Amino acid sequence: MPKAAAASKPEALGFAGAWNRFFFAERDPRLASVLRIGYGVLLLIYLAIWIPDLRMWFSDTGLMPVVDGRLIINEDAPSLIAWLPQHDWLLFLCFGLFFASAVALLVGWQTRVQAVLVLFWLTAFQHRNIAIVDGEDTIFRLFAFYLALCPAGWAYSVDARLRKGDPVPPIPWGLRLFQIQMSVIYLSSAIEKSSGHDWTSGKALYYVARLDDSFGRLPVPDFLFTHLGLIKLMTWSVLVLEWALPVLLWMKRSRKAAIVVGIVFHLSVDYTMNLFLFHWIMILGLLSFAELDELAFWRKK
Amino acid sequence: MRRRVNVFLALFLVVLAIDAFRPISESHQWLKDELNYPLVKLGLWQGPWRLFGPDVDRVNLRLSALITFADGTTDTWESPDWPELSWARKFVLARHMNYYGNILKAGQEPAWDGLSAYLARTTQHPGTVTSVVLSLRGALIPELDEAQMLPVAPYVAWDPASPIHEWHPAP
Repeated sequence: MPKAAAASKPEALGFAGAWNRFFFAERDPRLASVLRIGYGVLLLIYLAIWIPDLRMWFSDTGLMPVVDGRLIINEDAPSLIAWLPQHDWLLFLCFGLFFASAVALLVGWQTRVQAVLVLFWLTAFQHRNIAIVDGEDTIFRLFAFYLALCPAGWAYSVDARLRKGDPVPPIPWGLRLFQIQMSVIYLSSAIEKSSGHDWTSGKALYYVARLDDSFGRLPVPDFLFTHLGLIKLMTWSVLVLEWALPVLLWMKRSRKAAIVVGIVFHLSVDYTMNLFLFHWIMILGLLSFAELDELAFWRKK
Repeated sequence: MRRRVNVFLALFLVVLAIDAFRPISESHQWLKDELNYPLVKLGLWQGPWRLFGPDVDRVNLRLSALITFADGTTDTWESPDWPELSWARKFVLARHMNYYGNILKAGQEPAWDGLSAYLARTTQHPGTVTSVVLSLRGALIPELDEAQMLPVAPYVAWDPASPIHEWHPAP
C-alpha cells in the first residue's frame, strides 16, 4: 500500500502564528553582522579609554580596593577581577584577554564564543568597580548577550570565510531582542520622566543645561536654553519622542522616519552632552530596526 | 530546537518586563527581588532606565582633599573642573566623571576610604601622610525663574566646602 503523501504543515493561526511570524520570519541575517562590527568598534573605543587608568580603576592600589568595591555593590555580583590575587600582571592579563575577545568579535572569529566572553569580561570589570559605570555599560552587556544569540558571524567575518559549503541562511531571531530592548529603554525612560515634575512641567532641560559635568560638550546658542518657550518645547519633545518611538519603530509606515528621527535625536544630544558612548550604542541599537538594503542607500539601484 | 528557543524567548521577555520597569505592585517588587540574583550572576541586570528622570539633578558638586603630613605640612587636591576642560579631554575622562558623580550618591561612603588612601599614596609631596580630609562643595541650581533666567552655562556659584570624611592610615 503506498504511503500517503505527507501533508504540508499548515501555518499556525492566532497568537502562535503571530509569534512565529514575528520571531522566525525570513530576514537578512547580514544585519546582525553589521551590528557586530559597529558594536566591536564601539567596544574597542570603550576599552581604549580604560587603558591609561587600568590600575587606578581596577587594582587594589587604585581608587577602589577590592574591599571597598564589594561594599558598594550587590553582594551577589560576581567578578573574576575581584576574586583573583591582586597582582597587576593578572589584571593586565585579564584586560588583554578581554581586548583580544573584542578584536575577535569585531573580525568575527568564533563569533558566538567571543560575544559570550565579552559579556563575561564586561560583567567582571563592571562589577569590580561599579562606581565608574553608567547606563551605556548596561547596554554594552546586554548587546553582547544579544549578539551571542544572533548569527552575528554569518557575514563580513572570518567565520564566513572559513565556512564550508553553502548552508541555508539562519533566521536571525536574536535581532528582535535588540529591537525589544531599544523599545524597553525608551518606554522605561518615558515612564520614569513622566513620574517626576521636571519633564512634565517642561523645565527639565533648563536644569540639564546648567549641570557642569554632563552638559556643555560643544557650543550651543544661548537662546535655546534661556528662552522659556524653547526650553519647554525641547523638554516636551524629548518626552513625546520617548513615548512615541517604541510605537513608531514597529509600524511599517513610520519605521524609517522613526529611525531617522531617533538617530538625529541622539546625535543632537551627543553634540551638547558628555555621555561618552551612550548615544552611539543607542544609534547602533536603532539600526536593528533597519533592513540591510536600507543601510546601503548610497549604492546606485 | 524551535521549541527551546520559544521557551527561552517567552521567559526572557517576561524577565525583561519585570526588571526594566519600576515596580507597579508588591508582587512586581517581589518578582524583581527574586530575579535579581540570577540576573546579577549572569550580568544581565538592567533596572528602570532613568536617563535624567524622574527629575534632573539640581546641584553641581566638587570634591577636595586636605592631605596632612607628619611634619605638619599640607597638600591639597581637587576633583576636575569640568567646564575648564575641552570636549576631547572630557571624552577621555568620562569614567572619572562617572566616578566622582557616583561616589557622592547615598550608600557610596565606603568608596571614600579608597579615594583617601589613593590620594595619600599618590601625592607628590614628600613625607608621611597622617590624615586626609575629604570636603564637598556644591552649587545648587536655582529654580527656574523666567524673570531672572540664568545664563546657559554650568552653574558654579559654590557654597562653602564642608568636610564629609576623615581618613587616617592604618598604624
